[in-house]
Amino acid sequence: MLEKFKKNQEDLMIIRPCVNIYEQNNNIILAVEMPNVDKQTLDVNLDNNQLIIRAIKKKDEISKEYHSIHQERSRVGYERRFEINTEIDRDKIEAEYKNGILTVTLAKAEAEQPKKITIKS
Amino acid sequence: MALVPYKRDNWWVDPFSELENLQKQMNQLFDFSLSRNPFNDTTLLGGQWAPAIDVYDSKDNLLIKADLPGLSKDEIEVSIQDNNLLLKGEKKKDKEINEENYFKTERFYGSFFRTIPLPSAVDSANVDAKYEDGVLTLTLPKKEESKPKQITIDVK
Repeated sequence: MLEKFKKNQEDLMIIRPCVNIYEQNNNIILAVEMPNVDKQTLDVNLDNNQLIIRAIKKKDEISKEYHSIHQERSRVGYERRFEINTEIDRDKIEAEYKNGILTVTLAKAEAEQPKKITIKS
Repeated sequence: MALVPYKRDNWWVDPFSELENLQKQMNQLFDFSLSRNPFNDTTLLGGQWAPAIDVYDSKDNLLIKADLPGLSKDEIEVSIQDNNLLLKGEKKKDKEINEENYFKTERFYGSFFRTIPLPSAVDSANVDAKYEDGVLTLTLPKKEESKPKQITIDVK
């Protein structure tokens, strides 16, 4: 999904990367499609209830002997925000970047044991 | 009553320029489907989606980069046939996850297929392929006879 939000200082177009969100083993997992990202610009932040994922694509290193005859890929910045409504364990957030996919694993917080209320008669 | 939108900067109204414009637009419409640019020939019949590619040319090699995130190198198939590069593969759905466990699915799954016509003949035995961070990089060395040859002009 391509939406031209705004341009940052580098004058890059920011696009919203495609994402799959699913539940597995009491975790909420987000798989974000972001190929060729510069890992130093990868940023995953949980601010109150908003999960913000940001990254910037690497600049292709093409040696000078080449000239471009067809271009479809472009250097972009990625940004996506999610509202997390479920209670999650904020200390156990994991993020892994592999093969162009960022996988963020949010562990659901332990459900509080229902308190048993004794009725005085 | 104006049938033609009033353009302030036309010092004279040239009815033929309007028709010419229309002709140009119709041409563009047909061009889109008949694709003059050979690289734009991504037929949707090939698969549900096709990767975005960049093609570079040098004296000795062709360089192709394709965005294919979330695959392993066993899921990508690269072959050369009749001077066309065939990129195909299949993104398989994760079997461990049931349909009802998904909150959101935006990523594409299924087979992808793209034919890239190569502007020069390449030595298919010596193609270098790398898959890193979701990007497939192919370096195809050109065959000797396809390399550009300098033609000396005799001036008499």
